[in-house]
Amino acid sequence: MSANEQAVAVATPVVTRRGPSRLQKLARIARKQPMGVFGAIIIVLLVLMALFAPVIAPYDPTSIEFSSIESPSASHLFGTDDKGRDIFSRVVYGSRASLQVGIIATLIGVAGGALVGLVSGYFGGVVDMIIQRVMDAMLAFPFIILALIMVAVFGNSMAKLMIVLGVAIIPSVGRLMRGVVLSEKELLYVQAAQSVGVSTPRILFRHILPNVASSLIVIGTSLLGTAILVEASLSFLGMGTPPPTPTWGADLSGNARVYFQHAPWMAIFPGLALSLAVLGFNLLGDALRDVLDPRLRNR
Amino acid sequence: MRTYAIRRLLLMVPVIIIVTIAVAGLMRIVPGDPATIALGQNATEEDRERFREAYHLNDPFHVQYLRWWGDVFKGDLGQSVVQRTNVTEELKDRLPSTIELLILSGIFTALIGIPFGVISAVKQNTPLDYLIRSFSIFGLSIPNFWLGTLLLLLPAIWWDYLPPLSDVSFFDDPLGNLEKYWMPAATLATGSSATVMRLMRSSVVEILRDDYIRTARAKGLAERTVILRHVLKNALIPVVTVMGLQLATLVGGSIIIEQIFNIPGVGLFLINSIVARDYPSIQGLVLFLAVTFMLINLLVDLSYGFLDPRIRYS
Repeated sequence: MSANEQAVAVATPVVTRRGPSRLQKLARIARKQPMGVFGAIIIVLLVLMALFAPVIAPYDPTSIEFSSIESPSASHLFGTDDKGRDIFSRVVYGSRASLQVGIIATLIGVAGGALVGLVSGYFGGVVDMIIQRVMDAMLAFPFIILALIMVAVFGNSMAKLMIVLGVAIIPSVGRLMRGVVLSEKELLYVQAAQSVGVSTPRILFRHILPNVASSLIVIGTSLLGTAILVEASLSFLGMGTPPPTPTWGADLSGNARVYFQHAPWMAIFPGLALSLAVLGFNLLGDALRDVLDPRLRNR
Repeated sequence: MRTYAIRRLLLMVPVIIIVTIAVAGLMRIVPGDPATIALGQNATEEDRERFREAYHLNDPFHVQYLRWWGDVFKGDLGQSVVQRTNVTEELKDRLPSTIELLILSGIFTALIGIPFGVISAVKQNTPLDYLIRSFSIFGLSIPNFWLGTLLLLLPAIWWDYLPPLSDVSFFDDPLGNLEKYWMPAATLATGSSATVMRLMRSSVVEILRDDYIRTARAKGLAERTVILRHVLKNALIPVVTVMGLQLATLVGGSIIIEQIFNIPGVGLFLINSIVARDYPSIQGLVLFLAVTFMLINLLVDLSYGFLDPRIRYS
């Protein structure tokens, strides 16, 4: 740019002052929430690891061709386990089961919980009463016990785990949504829609749902961490994703525990990966809550 | 308050009915014959039939269900088909271990969560606050079965130390008992103390902004007195409630912790029953757990009114 052009650029007033772009807004939020950014980075890395597992992992995670209980080295970054499998490859592939089960279960739970909460909160009366008693029945148990009982009854294939965990999530989302909808339906925009004769499903899904979506995103993110944790706990108890699928929880359980004292790397790396994954979702969930929905603080 | 408590107790009835019908119904649709599960694959059809007769498995669903309730009202939660013991007896044997684990975890939760939460709030936005908050978010993220594994593993590698395997009663040998129980209790308390710490922090931060705190400072009270006498008392109200609700989370976690640290408690009984598909025990345990949790929740809600007289129940 020549000096002349510079002068022109400086002299020309900016007539239309546009607000900050989306990217600028995002950058501003990111500066205020460094921990949230850290969480997001962990999650992005995790997703990339799951997507490109065959490229990243040096070996087949189920192959038992190596000598067992080898300490970490250049050829086996995290060492090998008692069956002679490469632990680094197992940790990389383990992200797939955790993320798949976690994400799909959370989607089922959030969608189901949103529907239940919308219906219960909007209609009230007998419908609300019945739905709430069923939710109470499910909330009468801690998450993991509810999931365990359902797994005991329905079995534990990966698809069933997703459904079971998803259903176990429904009451916590539903309870929250009901409360939000109860206050939302008194607002003017809903009354306006009702008075011009908009159909009920349309009011629920086109008017109320978008207005409560931020609460759903916030609770969904933190529940994702919980879902991953519970999937790992179930696998640890031998009731989770069945073998031979590599999962972090299962690699920390069962016969493997016998070898931990001689091969601590067998215990350390899968647990570290799991903790980081949950940490990522917790950090991002906290940051999203602060940004999107201050109402939910302290929950 | 009494009418509120009675109404809540009455509301428990339909919930309990839903829970028990759901569990009993689900057990019926599950593939797998209980007689085969209990007697093994080698039993003859005659044996199985005798077993079904003995346990009334041939009766229609509603008859079985009502008979089960009849037994429950007599104090009999059912007969474990796999372990061949009575669920009520088994619970009586195992409850002390679980209760001790929960009490110790509760103590850890309070001792860690409350003071650090207050420090974090008083020193808000200082490095110390960030440090405490980082610890709490890590505490919430670490799976307790991994933490428990490391707690058992690292001392074993470094110092050849393992906690005692045998289970001695606290009243016979307090030190030996605590040596076995402190580690699992601390592990179990990690998540809940992190939760309490976070809540305590935000509760104190909020109260520090109140007018009466400014008044207390203005009349020249020492900061120590302001925090301990004025802030803490009010900040504890929501925290006590959450600690009560954390009890349910602790019970959920105890299933895994009991497994890792080999504690013969209720959680281990439940997981053993589930792994063995011992449906009568599961059914009895589910009823026991559901009623316990609902009573805890009720007590927690009622405690709100005791702690804060401004709260009225309607």
